[in-house]
Amino acid sequence: MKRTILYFFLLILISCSSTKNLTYEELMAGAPTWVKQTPNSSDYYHGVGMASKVTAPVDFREVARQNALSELASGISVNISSTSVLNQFEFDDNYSEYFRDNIKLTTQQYLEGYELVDNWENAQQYWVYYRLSKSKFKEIKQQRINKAIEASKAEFMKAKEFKTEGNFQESMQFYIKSLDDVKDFLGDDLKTEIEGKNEDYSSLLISEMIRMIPRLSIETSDKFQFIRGVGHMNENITLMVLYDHQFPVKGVNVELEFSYAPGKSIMNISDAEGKIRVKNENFDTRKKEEYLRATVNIEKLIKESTSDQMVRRLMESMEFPVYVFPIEIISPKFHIMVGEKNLGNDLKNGITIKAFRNLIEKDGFEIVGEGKIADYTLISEVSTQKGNEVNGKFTTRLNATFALKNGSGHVVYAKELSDISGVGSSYESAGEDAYRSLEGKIRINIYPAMYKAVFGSF
Amino acid sequence: MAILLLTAGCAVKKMIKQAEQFEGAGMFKEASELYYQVHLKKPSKADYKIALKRTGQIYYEELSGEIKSCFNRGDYKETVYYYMEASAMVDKYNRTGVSIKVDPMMDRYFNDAKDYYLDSRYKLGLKHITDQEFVEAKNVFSEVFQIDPEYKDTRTYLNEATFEPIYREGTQYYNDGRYMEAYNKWESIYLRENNYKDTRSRMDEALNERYKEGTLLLMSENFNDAAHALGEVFKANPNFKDVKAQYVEARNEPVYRQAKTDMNQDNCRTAYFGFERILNDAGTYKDSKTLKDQALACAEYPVAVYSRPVKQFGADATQFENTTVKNLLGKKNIFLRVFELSTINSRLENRLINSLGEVDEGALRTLNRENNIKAVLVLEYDNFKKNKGQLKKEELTGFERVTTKSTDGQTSFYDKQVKYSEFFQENEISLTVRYKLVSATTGETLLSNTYSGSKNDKINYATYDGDKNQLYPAKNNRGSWNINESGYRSLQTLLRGETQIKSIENMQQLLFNDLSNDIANDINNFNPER
Repeated sequence: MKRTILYFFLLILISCSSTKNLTYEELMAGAPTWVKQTPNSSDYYHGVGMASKVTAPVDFREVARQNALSELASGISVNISSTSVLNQFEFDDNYSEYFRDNIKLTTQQYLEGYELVDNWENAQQYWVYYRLSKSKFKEIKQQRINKAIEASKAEFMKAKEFKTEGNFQESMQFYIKSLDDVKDFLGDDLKTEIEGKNEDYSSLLISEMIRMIPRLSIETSDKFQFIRGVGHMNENITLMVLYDHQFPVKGVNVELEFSYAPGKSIMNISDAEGKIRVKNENFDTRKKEEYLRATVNIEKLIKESTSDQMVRRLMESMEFPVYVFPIEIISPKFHIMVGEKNLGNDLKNGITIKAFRNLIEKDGFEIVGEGKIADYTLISEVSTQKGNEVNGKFTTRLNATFALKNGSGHVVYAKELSDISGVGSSYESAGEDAYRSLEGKIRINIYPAMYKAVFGSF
Repeated sequence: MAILLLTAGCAVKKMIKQAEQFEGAGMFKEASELYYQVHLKKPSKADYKIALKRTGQIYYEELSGEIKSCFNRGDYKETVYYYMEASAMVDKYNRTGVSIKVDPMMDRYFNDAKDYYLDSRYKLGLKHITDQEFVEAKNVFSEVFQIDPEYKDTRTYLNEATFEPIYREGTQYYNDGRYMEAYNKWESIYLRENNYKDTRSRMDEALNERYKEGTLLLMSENFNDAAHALGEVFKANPNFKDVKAQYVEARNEPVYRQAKTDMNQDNCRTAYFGFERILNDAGTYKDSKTLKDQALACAEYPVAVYSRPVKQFGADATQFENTTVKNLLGKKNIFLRVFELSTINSRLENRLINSLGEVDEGALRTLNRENNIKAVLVLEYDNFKKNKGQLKKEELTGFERVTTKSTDGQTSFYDKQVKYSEFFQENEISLTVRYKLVSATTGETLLSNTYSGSKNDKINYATYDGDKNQLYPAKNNRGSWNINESGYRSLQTLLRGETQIKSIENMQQLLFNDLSNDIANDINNFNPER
């Protein structure tokens, strides 16, 4: 495909730059057969490269050489051995595709032992032909594998030592480093002797790491219980990072999320006692049950241990368990005491009390009949007075006071209203109209302000 | 049209040249875009279509390479955006019939990258929502929505991020008693998302509060502020309770009251306009229609026109008076009624001006009593000059240039001395008119002014029976006539000059009309109540 596009592109350029249009046959007159068809033999990898003297008038030889070596490298198939780590563990297709591309790139970078076979040129083009003996390639590759395994094994042994000591962080770091050493050969069989046994090295490496994961846990002996209201956000939450449920692990990065603060995650590192201490997030939940999610995050550890994208992605595919800790939300109890008069007469069906009751219950709070068992008591006095009458229209003025006290009798919210008017066909109906306006004010302004005073937000 | 086609053709050639340059330099994005533009202009040209397909395909492969490389290095945002760019390009070219061969692997890269990227963006958006950072949340969710409108509940959060700040602004306005501003905020949400929280019921609450403000202002007879408040409610919802009737009342009640006061103070003309304004605004309002009719009857202003006699020009004075009456009637002033004094009370015609030359108050009172006349328009004339000129003729010497052609075809000319006639005539008329509008009840001069005017017309022309075009004037030099070539153009103008003069009668009518119209305008604009 690429070669076709190159031909096509070249023909266009030639036809653009010359006065006479050349046919393909005219252009390629006298070219050797390897130009027209890349050789194919079982003993060698072949690479034929071309460069246009029009587009690369100065460095066309180097461009052609690079193209030839690229073709040579692309001919070296990347086989993922059935016993390789990539086939033993479940990685997604994109990763396998990525792995192949990466290996091809590495192959090209480390290409050595190739020989120049021939070159050919005309006025417009320069062609070059390289080849590499398959046996030689195999030999060189095996030397690289051996060298990589030796380096990797040293790191691996250190990782095992730290693991024995329950030092998760150090152990994981050395495992990643040892993986980094053999990253170019993860598709191959990497048999080697470890502690007197002939082992499949890359699989052993990965499985050692994976086996460590469930031994690391996040735990707590606390039960989390919060009362809605100001002050809850300052409460501390403590979790423990343990290895084998008994050894505190320090330096582990833990990601925490409160269900009532969606999208916000807190990163914290376990201290010398393996403890994670976080402040409770501000919450405004109407639910009775919420939770805290905690999981180990090794992103930072990975970044510190390797700069190789392929290894990073492989490590990122490892999943750590998510620990969920329930949080019980206790809603405060409200008691409502409202006096409502219309033109001096008690209202039979209280409008104010009904408005508050609806709003409070809708927010999941309990309303109790006695002030002494309530966390908050709402006291309100509402009354209307006659205004004037014009052409059969009557007006009233409404006065209202609101005070919300907490359990210790401290006023946490207070408000006085005197700017509400009512209009009607009688003073009575004008008074009722004023109450209807008050209902709107309670819903839109009073109750949200009261809620904010207690819970910090609305 | 041809120029346009030519210009368009040149533009296409220029674009093709540029596209080829881009393609030659390996800039396939720019090249394909230019070929696309050309293809749109010339869709039937196969060459352009092929060029678009070729460069488009190469650019797509470049983008595919970027998608793959971004994905592999974990840059999911760039993966998503490169894919979207590639997809948009493929769709765009497909719509013009140029298909780009796509790599199905790109869909997989995109879907995987999208999951990673949108997950992180979605979480960030949620964090902003939790922290009530709505502007930031809106930016994030807008981006997520653009990439995948159906991603989780992005639509809901985008609405919240967009509308919640407006909703809260409305709440603050409501709290401050700025009900219409609160209404407008909530309405702006409702118009875009009618299910957002309780915006609909809040709009009603706000409107009701503003309505009540208007009602209370109306009850306290603060009509201006009431009209403002009720007008706002009416504009928001014309059917809201009885806002329409109250708004009408707030607008018109002060006008109605003032008009009634004006009537009681005999300012009937002002009252009439007040009632008329109400009826124009409201159609009907209380008894405005009846009161308007009464005001009109009360505001009628009968005026008698009288010309002071002028010796020698009696007929001309009558003509001026008639023209004035005609112009006054032409104003169609509903209050003004115009009479000739001689017609309504000929007895008083000779008594109106007393021996001292002043308007006689007794005669005025009689006119008021017997003929209900409220004012007399007295016209006095001065400096009336009318000059009808005679046609003067002068016979003059000139030369006619005669051209001859010889037998050999050569032309030559000679100047023949001839006689021609020049005529001159002038008509002119001028007049000064003083008028006084005198109250028939008090004898007071209510209005006076003097208008002067003149008209004239002149003719000056020449006649010649021969070839007018070849006629030159002559000048006498010590007794001998010579051709005056420099006077040729002036003489030609005279030969083509107007020969008919405007009649003195016609000019008089025009002058009288102009002057009497000025007087009629003054009387028409005169408001006796001011």
